[in-house]
Amino acid sequence: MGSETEKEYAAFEEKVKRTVYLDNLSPQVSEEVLRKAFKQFHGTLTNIHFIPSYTEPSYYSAKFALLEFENQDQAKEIIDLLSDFPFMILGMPRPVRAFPAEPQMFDDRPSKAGRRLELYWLDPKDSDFDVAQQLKNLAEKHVAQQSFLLKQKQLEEEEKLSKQQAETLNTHYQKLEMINSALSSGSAKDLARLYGVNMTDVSGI
Amino acid sequence: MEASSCCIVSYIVVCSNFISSIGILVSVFGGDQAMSQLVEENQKTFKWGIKIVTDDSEIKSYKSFTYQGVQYFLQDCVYLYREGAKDTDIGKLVKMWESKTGAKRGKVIWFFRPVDVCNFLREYEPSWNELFLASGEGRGVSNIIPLEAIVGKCNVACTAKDRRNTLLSKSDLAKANYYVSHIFDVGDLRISDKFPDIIDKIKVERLFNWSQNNPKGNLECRTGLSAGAQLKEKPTNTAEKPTKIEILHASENFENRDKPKANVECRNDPSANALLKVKEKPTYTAENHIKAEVLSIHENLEHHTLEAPPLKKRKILPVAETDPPSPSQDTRRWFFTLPWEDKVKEAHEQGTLVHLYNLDLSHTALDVQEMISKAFKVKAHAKVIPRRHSFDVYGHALVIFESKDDADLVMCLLKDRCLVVGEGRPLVACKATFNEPDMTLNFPGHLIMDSLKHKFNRKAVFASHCAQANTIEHEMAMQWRMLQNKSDLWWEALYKGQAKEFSHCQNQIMKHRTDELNTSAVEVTVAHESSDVPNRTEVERPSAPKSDEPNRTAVEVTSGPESPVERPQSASHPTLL
Repeated sequence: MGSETEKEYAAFEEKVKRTVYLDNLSPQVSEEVLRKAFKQFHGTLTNIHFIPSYTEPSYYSAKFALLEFENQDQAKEIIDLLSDFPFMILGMPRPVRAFPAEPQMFDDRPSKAGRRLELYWLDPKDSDFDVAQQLKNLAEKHVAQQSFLLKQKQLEEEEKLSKQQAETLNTHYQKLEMINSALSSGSAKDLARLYGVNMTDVSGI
Repeated sequence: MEASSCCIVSYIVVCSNFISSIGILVSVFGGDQAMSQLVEENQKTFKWGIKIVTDDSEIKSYKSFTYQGVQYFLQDCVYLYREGAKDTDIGKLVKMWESKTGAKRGKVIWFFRPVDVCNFLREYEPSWNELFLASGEGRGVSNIIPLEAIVGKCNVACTAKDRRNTLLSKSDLAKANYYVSHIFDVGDLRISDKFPDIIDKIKVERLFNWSQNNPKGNLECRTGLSAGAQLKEKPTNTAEKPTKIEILHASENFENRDKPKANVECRNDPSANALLKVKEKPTYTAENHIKAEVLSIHENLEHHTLEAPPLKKRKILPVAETDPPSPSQDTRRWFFTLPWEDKVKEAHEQGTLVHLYNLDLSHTALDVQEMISKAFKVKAHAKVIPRRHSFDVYGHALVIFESKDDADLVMCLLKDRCLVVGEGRPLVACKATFNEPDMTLNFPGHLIMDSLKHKFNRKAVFASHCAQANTIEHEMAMQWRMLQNKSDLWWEALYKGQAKEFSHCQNQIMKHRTDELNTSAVEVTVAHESSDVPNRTEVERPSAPKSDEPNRTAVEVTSGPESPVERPQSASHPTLL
């Protein structure tokens, strides 16, 4: 029994080594999308697992996934590639990030062999009940802090940047549209004549 | 009960001169070499179904698709709507494919309503629900349509007294929306009840009713998804093949015709349990092709026939599907327990879902379940929530109890008392919140150029790609990268701060715990020994934790074994970090 769990855990650790963790995925990304996206690269994807986030607040819509490859080298290659170049899946310009996976990211991990589970109760009359209660409160506080950070800072910043970029993109587009229309409608030519500017310089656009 | 396996049979069209050994390609959705996805709203309503593999790399042919919640197969009759038309048109889908531009197209052979051909009816008096099948040469027989023009399925029954047509039962006829008994020849502009062999390159048998009385029963064939399946042709006649695949024929009438039959061989799945029957006929000397007839059987035991248009060169048309083509949900659910997500949803509604945290990071779901059964003597089903940030010290789990009372009890107990697990971690329980991920929320960072879309009136296609360095996109991506790194930093700061506070508190508990153990050890030894101070300190010293100050243990010893020892909490504060 012992060796079996050890083997299982060893196999699990090996799996972790060749898994890549992706974040900043759009909520519309599905398994097929990921498969096709990663077909461009050398590695062969063996398994895709989306990390479910039902306890996460619904306003944070990013998805996260674990991609399992055939071997560790392939996983490493993908991670390096995605850190060198911004990779867009199903939309732009928010790039997807890849990290090596960690055992705690898997919700179906086997238990490590040779561990004992110990637990004990503490009642209010126990002397360190207060400390324990303190720790509980601390834990609650921390979890609340985490969700606050997520909502306030993280989401806010993301939306800010997104809006900013949308505006920039819009202005770029309008600028180009204007140039385009000026050239095509001939008003550019008229203006060129007026100002005595040689149009052939700009007609390459 | 093999309802779990979908049943698609693959078939080969092979030229007798060639040996075919092409692997089976499987792609349920329209994936081609250029990774493209449609980001239109309609993407969610249109989904391709079973793919047919052909040699044509630009066109991807299919056997079925799902649009707006309805599943359409080849040979289905559909309603099509043209803008400005007074009524819908009805056609029979004979082909469906996706072009290389991503446009979804289908070929339909039209049915004429009586009003369409009223000028040419002469003496024939049609019924109100009768249609005429288009045939002949000329315009109006068939068209290529965009599949998005389909507005619904139509049930058209063929009541022609043709030997190739199987007549339907009365109940089937009653179910039909329309019936067809005559053709309308667009060349002659006449009604006729003689159905030709070919209508617009489609064999007319395919336009008739499907055979309902197939004697062979269930067909199951699973082909391997990888390219490992080898398909070979057997040039000689073989009456029956002893492999475990069964082929059904649409109508036995075919045997009367002098047509070559197919060779089919599939790699089979051990769960397939049918017999293979291959009928072969001598090939045409002139044409040299062998056609295969294969039926796919759905769970509802419907049959479709699909025949490849005759081609001189060899063609492999294997089809394998991973998803059951029925529009119903995952049928595996019938046999296995519900998938976790649905369980969670259900539990949340019933109030049996509890969110447990402050678990040790190495705890697994089984550990949690064990813990709960040990501590509370109730059964529960738990799953650990994966941790996404590397510095987070808290382990979370979702626990589903058997009843609401259990859940409430556990939460109460955990609130009033402290259950400490692992290394000084008292568990915290709270009512779990379950949020369905909102798919419609805008994902900040994905910009869609609406104005562009309207201008070109085309669906925007985003291919997954790496941004090149000289584009605006790259610049924006870099801004996102910066934000991502910044956010990493602030999360790290938060978690590290939390970890510090946490470990400080945790050490206190641990220390107290070992102290308690020590005092109980002391109590034991005191009972057996004399109250010799040096002896007790001997006993205690080895087992005391590292950072204990010597005078503290002395204090504990001297205060006596009976009463619980007062531990000066302030003393431990500065030393343990």
